[in-house]
Amino acid sequence: MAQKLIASNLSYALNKKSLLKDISLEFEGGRLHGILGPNGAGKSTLLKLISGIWKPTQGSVSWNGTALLDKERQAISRIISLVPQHPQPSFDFLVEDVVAMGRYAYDRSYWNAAEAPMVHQALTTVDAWHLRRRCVNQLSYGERQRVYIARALVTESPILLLDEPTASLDIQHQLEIWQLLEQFVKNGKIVIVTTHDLAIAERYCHHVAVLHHGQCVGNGNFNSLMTPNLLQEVFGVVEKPMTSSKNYTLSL
Amino acid sequence: MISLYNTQKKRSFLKLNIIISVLLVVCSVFTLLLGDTPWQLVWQDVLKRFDGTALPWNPLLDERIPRLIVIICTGASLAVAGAVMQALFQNPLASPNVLGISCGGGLLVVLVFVLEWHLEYPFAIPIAAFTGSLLTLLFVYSLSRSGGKVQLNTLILTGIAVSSLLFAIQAAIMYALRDRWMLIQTLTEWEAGSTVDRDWKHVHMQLPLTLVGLYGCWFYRSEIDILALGEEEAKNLGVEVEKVRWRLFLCVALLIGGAIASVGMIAFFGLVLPHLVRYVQGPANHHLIPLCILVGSASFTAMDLLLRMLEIHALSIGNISAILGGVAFLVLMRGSRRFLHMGGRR
Amino acid sequence: MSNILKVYAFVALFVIGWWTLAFKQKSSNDPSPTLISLAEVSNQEPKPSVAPPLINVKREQLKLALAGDLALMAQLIVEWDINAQILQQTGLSSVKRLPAHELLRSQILKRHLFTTAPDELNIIKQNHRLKSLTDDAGNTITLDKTFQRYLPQTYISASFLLALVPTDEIVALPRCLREHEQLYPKDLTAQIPLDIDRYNAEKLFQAQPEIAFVAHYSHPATIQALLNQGVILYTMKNPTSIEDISAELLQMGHIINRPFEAELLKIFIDAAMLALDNHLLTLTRPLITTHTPIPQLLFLNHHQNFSIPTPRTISGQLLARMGDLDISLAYVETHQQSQEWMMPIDKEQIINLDPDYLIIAAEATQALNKEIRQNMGLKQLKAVRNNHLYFVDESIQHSPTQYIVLAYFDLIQCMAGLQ
Repeated sequence: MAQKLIASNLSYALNKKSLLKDISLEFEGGRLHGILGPNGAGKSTLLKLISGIWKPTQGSVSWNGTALLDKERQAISRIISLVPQHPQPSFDFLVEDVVAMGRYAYDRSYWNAAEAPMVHQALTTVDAWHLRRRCVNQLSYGERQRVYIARALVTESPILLLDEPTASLDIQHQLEIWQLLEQFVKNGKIVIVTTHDLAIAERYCHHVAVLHHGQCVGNGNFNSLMTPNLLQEVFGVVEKPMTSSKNYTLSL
Repeated sequence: MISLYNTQKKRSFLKLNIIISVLLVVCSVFTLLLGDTPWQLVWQDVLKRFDGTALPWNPLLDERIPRLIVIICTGASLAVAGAVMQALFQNPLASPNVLGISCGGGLLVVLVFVLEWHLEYPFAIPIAAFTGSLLTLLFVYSLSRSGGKVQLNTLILTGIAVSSLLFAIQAAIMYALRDRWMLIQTLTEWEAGSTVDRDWKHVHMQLPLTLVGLYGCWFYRSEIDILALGEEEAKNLGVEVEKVRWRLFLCVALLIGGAIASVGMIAFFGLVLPHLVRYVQGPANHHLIPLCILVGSASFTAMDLLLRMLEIHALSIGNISAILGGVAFLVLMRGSRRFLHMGGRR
Repeated sequence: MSNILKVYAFVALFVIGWWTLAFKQKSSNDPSPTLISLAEVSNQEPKPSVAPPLINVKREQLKLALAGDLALMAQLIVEWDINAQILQQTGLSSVKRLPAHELLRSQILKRHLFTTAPDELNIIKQNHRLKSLTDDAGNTITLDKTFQRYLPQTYISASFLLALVPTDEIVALPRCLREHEQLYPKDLTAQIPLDIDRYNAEKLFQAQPEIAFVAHYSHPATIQALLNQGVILYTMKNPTSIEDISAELLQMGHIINRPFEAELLKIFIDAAMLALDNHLLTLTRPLITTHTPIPQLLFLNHHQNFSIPTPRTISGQLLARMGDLDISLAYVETHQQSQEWMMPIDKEQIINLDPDYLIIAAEATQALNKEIRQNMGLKQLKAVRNNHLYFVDESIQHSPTQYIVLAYFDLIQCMAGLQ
């Protein structure tokens, strides 16, 4: 049976201002879900609510039929892992230390040598093993993103949330990340990604939800969802964007 | 390859521990040996304790040992409190002094002196120090929160503002009592920090607070590591942020309260020591916390020993710590900006 | 949740339990501490060591004289000189006497002040008064008129004025001075309601002082305000010796047109110090004749920690007058590194010195006495075991005024137990 994450009637308000209102979405395992919307639509807020980092003012999140946010923090972290948008630690942690922190959900003494094989595997998967003894703050944005994805892998969580993982990356690195995410999806994970790039979303996302002013204005298949009216209303564009991925290939 | 590197890391940590431990032991031994009474007489009297013919008071057992315990506790407390605050607030400039916590504890202790409660109730001083430290910490934290999270870019300013306010209140009290010059003299001597004439009374004031505080910080050292990435990140990785943060606040208040109660105000120590340790060992708190305990106690012991050997009376250990700490901080800043990511921005 | 409460409860019990056990008042088996009050000490009649009986120095008399009782001053000067002569006749060496011309001068001044007609006295004073003098800031003050309204900005000037002039000539007093009722009775200071305070600047101006006695450390803005108001300023020297106190006293005497009164007070101070020196001599002489070792006296100040005054301070100079009795200055000499005023000393060093007499100048004397008698090391001191632990008034010990004589008296009287 496919694993399912269900967000029901999620709402969030801060200082009497409603940031998200009544969001209900379902995310299934083995699929790559995209959350689209302009700046300030509430995409990052939604991810933080789903992962339990912020407490919703209303609504609930369930995982395979059980309430997720009622669990202990470590239990939630074993299920959901969030890759933040602009991670910038204030201290010079080493890459391998940052990645190893992902094992905190299983063992408070995350630095134990026993964890090292998993760290190796995760860093190798994202092609960042050669960076392991460097300080995270000295890496480029793309390298840092890969390191944080490795950390998410180390948590072994079935759900991965990524907040604009490819913003500010060049095309090559963007495609590398997306292909990696496709691989995770093939391995049965639920991957939920927020993005601005409609072309990339069209190519890689099996399912998209569009947020506008904190509300979900539609969810489903990209092509059926992206009508000219929606494009105009939400994104302020009148033409359907051409798919550009056919013009790009990865050099292996 | 993986295990070799981890082994190398472990060896380097162990080596550093050994070096610092040796320094601590050497300084401690000299601290116990140094004094007005010739060592032979002291030792003879210690041996007489076993057959009940000793004098009731022995310089080693009743003065030098408790003083050494106080010095070790203070050095460890300040260094660990600084490391924890820098991690909790994700700011390398966070320290008990910068965030006004020491001022808060100091203010309540000044009130205890003014009201002369300490004459009747000696433990009024550590209670006042702990309470003042905790209340100030909570106050600074709540002021720097906005939109449900700590605004790091305003945290230091908030701390400086609170510190200035508390200092102004203390200055107002001292000004109002300026005619009581004997009280002013007492307060001036206390504020300068001193390890002179520390006996078992001071040990009892400080040690329970230090033990609980250090144990708490050591127990949560992995959480401190993760909290250094930010509160949201820490939650993401499974840390019960509110609970852990509150407990660490209590631990920091206990450590600072104990240090203020027994020695007085020691500036800059909590700011600089963690940086020095990070410079050598890296920022990972699961190593940083135990090392800060060792390095803090060793360096404070060494500083006190230096003052005693050189018989410097004009300056207190608080003055020396502030001057050396300030210079060390400037050197660190000038030497390498890497170690002081200002606000973590590049 | 309950587990967490248990943890918090355990931690709280651990800390509170530790403190309860540690600070539990141990019932002392020692007899209740006999803190010898100065009143008791001052009323003790030291047994005369020689016949015929000497006129003893009494504290209350000293205080009255220092407060301005000129007749008493003159009387005591003569009595003490007779004492000194008697001591010399008994063969006691090193007896000190006032120089003959000073003794004579004191009696001449007394006759002027008490028998000369007021108008004639004024003329004599005017002729005797300096025409001008220079203050410690190098300013020359012309004394071409008789001032009648004084503003003492400093403690020392207020103390002199209260002794030498009527209260209606004093515009205001330093607030701290009023707290020392043991020297300045409330009914005296209450006659001068104004305080020297920056917030009273207008009231002080309305009181129209003619001359203000200031110090180098007076607030610059205050000094400027006084100058702007046309008040003459006399900058007093910060006295660091009895000679300095006397010199400032004489200067002030000329300024306030009481040169004779000031001179008599100055001679009285000198005579009193010499009388106290002789009193100390009578206490120690039997020890010398019986070849008994001279006891050792240690004098300490206490604020947060203990310290010893160095010879730079007036306290230190008083200790130096006590000669071989005092071991405080010998300790200072061996440990002093620079020009310190106070030399810190810790408990171990005090215990090693183990003085026979311990005099402490402190504020919270009851609490300190209790702490000393409960401290395992300090309670074993000879001074404590033999009840030679004394507490003296710190404000008098550090008073740079004519009452420094009382400070010396207090030190000497602590040694009354020598016999």
